[in-house]
Amino acid sequence: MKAKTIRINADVTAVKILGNKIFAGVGGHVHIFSVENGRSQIDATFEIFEGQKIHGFCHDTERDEIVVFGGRLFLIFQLTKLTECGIIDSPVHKVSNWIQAVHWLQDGSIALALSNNMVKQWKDGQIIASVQCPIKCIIYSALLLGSSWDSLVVFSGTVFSEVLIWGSDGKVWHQLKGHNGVIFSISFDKSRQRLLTSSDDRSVRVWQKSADSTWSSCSLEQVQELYGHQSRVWRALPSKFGLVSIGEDSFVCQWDDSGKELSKMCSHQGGSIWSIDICDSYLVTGGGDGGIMCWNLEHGFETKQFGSPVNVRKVAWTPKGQLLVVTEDEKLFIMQECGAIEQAPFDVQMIEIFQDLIYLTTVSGNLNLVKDVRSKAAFLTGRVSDGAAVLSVVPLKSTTFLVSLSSGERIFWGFENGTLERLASYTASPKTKGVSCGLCIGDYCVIGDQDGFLQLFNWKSMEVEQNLNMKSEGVTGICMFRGLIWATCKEGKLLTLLLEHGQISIVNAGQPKLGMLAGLEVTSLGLLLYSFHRENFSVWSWDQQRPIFKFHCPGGGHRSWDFRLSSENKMCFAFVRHKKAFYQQQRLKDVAAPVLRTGLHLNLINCMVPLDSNHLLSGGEDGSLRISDVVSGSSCTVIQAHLSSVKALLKDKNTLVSAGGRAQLAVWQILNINSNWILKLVTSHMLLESAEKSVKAPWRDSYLNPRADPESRYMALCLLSHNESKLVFLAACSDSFLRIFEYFNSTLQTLKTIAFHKTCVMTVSSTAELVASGGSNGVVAVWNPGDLFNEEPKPLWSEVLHQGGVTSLTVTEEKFLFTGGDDGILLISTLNNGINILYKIDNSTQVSGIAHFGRYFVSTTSGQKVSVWQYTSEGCDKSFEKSVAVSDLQGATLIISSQTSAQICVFGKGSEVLKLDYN
Amino acid sequence: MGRSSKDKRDVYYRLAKEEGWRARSAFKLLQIDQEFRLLDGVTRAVDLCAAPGSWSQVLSKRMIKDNPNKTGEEKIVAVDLQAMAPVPGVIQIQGDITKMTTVEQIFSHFQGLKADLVVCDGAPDVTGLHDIDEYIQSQLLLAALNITTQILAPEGKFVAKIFRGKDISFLYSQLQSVFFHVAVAKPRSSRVSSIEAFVVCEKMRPIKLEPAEGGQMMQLPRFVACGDLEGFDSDTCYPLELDGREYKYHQPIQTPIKPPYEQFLEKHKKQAKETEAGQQNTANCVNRLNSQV
Repeated sequence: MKAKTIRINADVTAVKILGNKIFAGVGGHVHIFSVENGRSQIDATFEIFEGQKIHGFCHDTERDEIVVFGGRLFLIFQLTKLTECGIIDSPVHKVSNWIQAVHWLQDGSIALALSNNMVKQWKDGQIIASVQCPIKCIIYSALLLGSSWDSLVVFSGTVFSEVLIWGSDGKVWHQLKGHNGVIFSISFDKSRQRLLTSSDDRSVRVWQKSADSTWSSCSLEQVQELYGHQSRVWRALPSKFGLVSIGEDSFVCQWDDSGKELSKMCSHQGGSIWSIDICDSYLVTGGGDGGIMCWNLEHGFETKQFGSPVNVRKVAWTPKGQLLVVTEDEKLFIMQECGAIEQAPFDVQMIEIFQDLIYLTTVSGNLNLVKDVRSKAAFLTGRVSDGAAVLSVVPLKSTTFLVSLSSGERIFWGFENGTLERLASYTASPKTKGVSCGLCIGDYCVIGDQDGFLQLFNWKSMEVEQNLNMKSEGVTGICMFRGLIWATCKEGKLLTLLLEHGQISIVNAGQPKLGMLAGLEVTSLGLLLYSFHRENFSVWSWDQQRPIFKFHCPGGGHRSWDFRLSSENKMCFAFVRHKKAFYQQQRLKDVAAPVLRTGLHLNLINCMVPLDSNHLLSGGEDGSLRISDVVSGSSCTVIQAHLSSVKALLKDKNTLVSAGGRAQLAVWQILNINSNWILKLVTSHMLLESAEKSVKAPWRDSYLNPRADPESRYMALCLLSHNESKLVFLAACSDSFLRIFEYFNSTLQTLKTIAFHKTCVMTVSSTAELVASGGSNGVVAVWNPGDLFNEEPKPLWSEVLHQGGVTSLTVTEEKFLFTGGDDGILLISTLNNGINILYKIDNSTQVSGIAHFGRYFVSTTSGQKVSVWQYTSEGCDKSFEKSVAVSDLQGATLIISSQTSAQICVFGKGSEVLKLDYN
Repeated sequence: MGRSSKDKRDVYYRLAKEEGWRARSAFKLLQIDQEFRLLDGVTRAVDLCAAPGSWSQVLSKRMIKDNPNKTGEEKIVAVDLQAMAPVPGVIQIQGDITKMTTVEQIFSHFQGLKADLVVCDGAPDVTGLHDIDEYIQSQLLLAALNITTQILAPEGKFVAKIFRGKDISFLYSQLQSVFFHVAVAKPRSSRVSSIEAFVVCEKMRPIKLEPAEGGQMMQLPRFVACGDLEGFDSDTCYPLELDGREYKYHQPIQTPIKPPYEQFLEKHKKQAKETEAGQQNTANCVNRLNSQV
């Protein structure tokens, strides 16, 4: 039996930029990307170490050789050979201790700094020299400098908060004290002659080396102590502007020479950022979510003031990136390329720009539609109100727009034939604040207003067919993306809605935690969300799941502002403050950088099920459900589904049940729209709902988050029956009960609570004829499904099969029972008149997951081993075994594609997909 | 989240506070002791990497306070790099377990006699990367094993925390090269989902064997789940009212002494104070705007 890794997703613990190539260590695999003109592609993937993460790369320019290292292992390969032959076949070498740093010496040997504070010299397969630092302790970081073994300078960052500087003669020259925690990184800024250290104590420290002296004789003075991270600082590296640090808090902090914080970007979904490399103003980070991202370090972009003495009311950008300004005295100005100001011949109070048309309106209802504001001749002129004040003008499509009036009336206007024509109208509450956005989809128009409602208008019936209360302070933007309607709400809610059979329904309501959401738009960069948070306006990319640019904009988003990605690929932002207009324009190429790989879950993956042969659905400790591509491993869809962790998934046909911490259960409808998989929430349920508390911050309360006592956890789910529209399933609960739920008519209810297990029920499994459950005390019970509904249900058989908890369990149609325990034992039993153990397999670590297919089954252990076994009632043989670099394995799921091949997806802190050929 | 939510989630956390233990890990040693009778007849015990001191508390209670057969000769020495609040009957050494001077200090307290029991519940601050954490933990264990071979009596016992990860077989083989009997204990107060477990090593070999590099174990150590089957289980959720007792919130017994991020916290507090005025301004501004609308 053979297997090949087709996808790996794990902590990215090493990244390296070499020219236009980027090397990334993902688990034991090296991924090579090439980046050109802001675009990236993956060139190749090699598995270098089996079951060991890669922790670093070290390149020698002269020989063009690269050392890859991780744990106690390292490997050397030649870059040219790699490009020519496309293979890495060099041997893996092993040393006595964990490698903290590698350094090339001029004679072609390499120096290795080991975690027991020792350095070794290695050449041609042998250790030729070795020296132990007289201060013996565990080191968490190291740096090596010097061109030869004799001139080697060793910097070691100890567990005792010190940086030791010593030579290959074993003499310690300096013992830098200052940090109050483990030293996680040391780097040297050659141009500024400064040493940079980062630590557990949340600080980065900068040490200045005295000029014109050797390391043995120099003096070192701590010149800066930088606090910017909320959590541990993993790395600090010099950059052309100063330094950049990354940490557990998922911030990339940029500091200038003097120690001033230049910028702070949150990324990798709030998870740890493990690795970083900088080349000129280009930066690459690797995260705990498995994401790999490029960044542009250029900064110092200046916000300019629109130079005029006038009081500004409104700002707008033309598609070409020209700024238009409306003043309080109703004048319109154009800002020239050179910065000069030109007045346009129109009196105007409101301005909207849609495609190539500029809508200039006064509150009293005079409209001028123009293509060029300089020309007095308007494209179209008319009145859009009979007297009531115009609150807003919203262009819908090239020849249709909507005007909302203070009377509550909302009028659709068209000008298809060159004249202004009233098409339809409807009335909202006279207290309305006006329409903010609208979108035409076929025969329908979806309108969002500042009152927090969405209206579905039907062009055929000329009526509003639905008026949905979004329970929001105002809908700020609406667009069509991947077959769904997306809407942003002022208080920070992001909604996805489905228009189907003339009805709008909510698919999901998320809270991306971006602050005030001011709008969204589908651009050439994909879906962009605009938000105001603290003193910044952020442009946040949905595809990249990170901000792509921040504009400094003190004062919030309640005033006039406009953002546009111009036809000349400039990001243009303008806002009004204290009646003055401010603006910034950036070339996209100066600020944007590609994402090489988007991350998946940022913590443990607890459960996974296949959706089809190309897509996997997973639930994680981070409370999210994600749909990912089997091959690329990138998230296609992210749904913040649960308040706490998602521990179990049950999929039957198009219904999905997710369950997890805080006794939360959710039922989803699985939809496929325009070949995108979509999960639509049907109902969410919690066991113990406390009285609704008054909510101070409504945006923190997404509609699917009922408040509840964080009491119990659901550990596992299994199906009992599914007919027509009724789904009955069993849940294993941490409060020692088994609970039967029924999902019918969009509601969930508890049918029965079964007390049998005396401790936490860890796992359940079922077939049509049998149900099995396992507890944290080692007890396994086998039930007749019908008996579960009895007054006092009793299992058919129950036995203590394991010492410690039953961590995995599967029952098959052929009445085999597989159980795995914390004790490392895997048992295969038959279920005929009792539990009859056939085989017992010992492992040194916990058996965390079992999945079975045909005459085979797969087991995973917390020791990172994946094994495939072939079994019959006569024997059981291991067909395949592999150590994977995904740690904390929680289990496996299978995609069976044919009689002879299957894909095993193992998951834990990351995931790996193995393609198995078994003939 | 309310302050009782952690009490709800973790029964041993709550019990530890109720019973006056500095950390819930006290129950782990109590349960291992229950299974292996570790502390019966022990006169001299050493607690390595002792801070915050919950295992020292257990040693003190079992060997001195609640010991019906105590002779008055009982001695407990706790070693840690960090300072720890005193525990009755426990002699503290603030030192490094890898240093010879520490060995000498221990012997001086024991009048040159060897210990009957050495325990070590030390663990590094985990980074979140399993491979590094497991490696550092194994290094810590080997350091503890090294000092143990010097201070433990031939018939003595050694108990230490391990992380059961991918290289655990190698660690087992190293322990088996020093001891005749090695077992793996998993107390019920340690969660099933945690990779933590404890090795219980008995009877030192007169001559240390060379462990095989590939991790060739003599045999897989026996796995023993420890703790009363009728007792509490750390994976199970319990109601706040245990056995009908009324629930009362208890403060943690011992907060961390001098954590690495102490300075950071101070700065943070200071900053928060400074910006408080600023925040007030913003709030006023928002109120004004709202009233205008």
